[in-house]
Amino acid sequence: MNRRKFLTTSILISIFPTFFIKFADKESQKLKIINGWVLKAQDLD
Amino acid sequence: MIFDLNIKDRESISDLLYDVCIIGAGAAGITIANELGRSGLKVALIEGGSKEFTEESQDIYKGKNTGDPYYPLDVTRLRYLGGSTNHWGGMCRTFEKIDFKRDYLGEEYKWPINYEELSKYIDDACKILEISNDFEYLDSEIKNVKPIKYQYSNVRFKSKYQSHLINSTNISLFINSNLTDIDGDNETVKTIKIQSYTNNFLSIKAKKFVLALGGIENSRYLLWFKKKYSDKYFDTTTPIGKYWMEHPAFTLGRAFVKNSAYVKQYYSLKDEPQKNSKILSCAFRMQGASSSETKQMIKNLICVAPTFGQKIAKLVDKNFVCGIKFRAAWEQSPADMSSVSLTNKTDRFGISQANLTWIKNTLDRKTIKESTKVFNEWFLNDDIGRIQLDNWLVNDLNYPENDELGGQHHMGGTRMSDNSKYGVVDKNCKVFGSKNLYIAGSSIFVTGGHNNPTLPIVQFSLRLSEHIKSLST
Repeated sequence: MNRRKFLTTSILISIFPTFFIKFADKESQKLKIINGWVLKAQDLD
Repeated sequence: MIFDLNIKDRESISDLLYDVCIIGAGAAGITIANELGRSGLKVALIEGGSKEFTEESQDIYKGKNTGDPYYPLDVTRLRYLGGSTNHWGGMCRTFEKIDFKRDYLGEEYKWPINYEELSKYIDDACKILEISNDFEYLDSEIKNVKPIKYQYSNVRFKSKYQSHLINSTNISLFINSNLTDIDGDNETVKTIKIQSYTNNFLSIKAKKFVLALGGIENSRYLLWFKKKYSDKYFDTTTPIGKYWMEHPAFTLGRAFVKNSAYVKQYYSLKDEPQKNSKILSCAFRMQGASSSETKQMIKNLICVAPTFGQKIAKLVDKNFVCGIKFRAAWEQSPADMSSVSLTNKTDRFGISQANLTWIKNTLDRKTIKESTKVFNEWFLNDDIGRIQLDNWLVNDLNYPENDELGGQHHMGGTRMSDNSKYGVVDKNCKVFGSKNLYIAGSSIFVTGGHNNPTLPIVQFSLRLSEHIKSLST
């Protein structure tokens, strides 16, 4: 990835955070490692 | 000028006294020859191989591995004009400031020079490798993690410099010329003896000698001369062959990310988390996974987290999420038990073959574990994606044997230091206890960073050239 593409992506993420897919909210940060997957507790709900 | 010792037709050549004799015509040797030749010094450049690959030359690289699983020694490097730049991948990056400030880990990590003394050669080194001097993104706002940039060189030293070396009036290039012996007075090498595959012999006289034989051979030849002549030519109490380093390179697992911008990107940790955890540097590599690998990954996820996995599966189908292979190459700690020594077996010229004992230690395991932990925190906190780590990393098992293993970057063995307890050469790359024997190449690295070694090899070669020129004026 070139610098321009990386910066563009970073800027887009910072300006339009909701545009990007969110896998999980920032709450519930407790980590679970199951079968190698490092997951948030809420991923297991 | 070029002389093929297989066809000995220049008897008078042995009468010449060169200013500098460089043994080894790879990236380091050719760079130094060019620099010194340009300044008007008379240079003999000695290459054991030919202008092209030959089995008889490559066989000289045969050796033994007695440490962690590693490649046979005759396949990780090339022994002909241009050296291993004839097959390198061209990835370029140099040391960072933190690499020269690892004293908090112990005396073994102490460089005798600072970052600035090396960085002043970066522009000229980049010109030689035909790359931009552009390795950093703007300050990363990511906590603890930063994206890093490499430049890619297409330069093969043989292709680029062969004509110049042949046509130079100040450089005499000897091919099929294998170093077999040295001669001189106490602490001073005056002559080297070279031998061809056709059993022609020649002596080369010079005022100064530079060993630029590569990251294993520099140690091997010093050990051989130590065995043969004890301390006649240099201090033999130094750790010759020890503190040998590679860049361990393994697959850590796989992951999916929510944005393809993260694919093919490289990351490392910022300085603070490295210092806080007392670990070394690491470069994470995110490589795109195939569609079948991604599907298998999601299948695994569904087994662990069904609802979340199904959600991700739908996003994968819509190309909103991509799978990646999660890999890393990291800095190995300098440890005296990781070393080059000599075997009882000799090559065709009667010189003992190398025995490589590459050993990764607990700090090397700690570096990758802690670095991965910090990287994972970024992944989760910023919701970049999810990583599935391989079993060996999660459960502290042996390193996988069917992986990349290392970057085929051979460093250390004749490291530079202010202290002969930890190094073999001083800050000017002169062998301790010698008046005129120097070492060039990655064997002088005190630490290895996580960067590919060729760019700093060229930087250090320019630095050594400048030093030798300053002594010759």
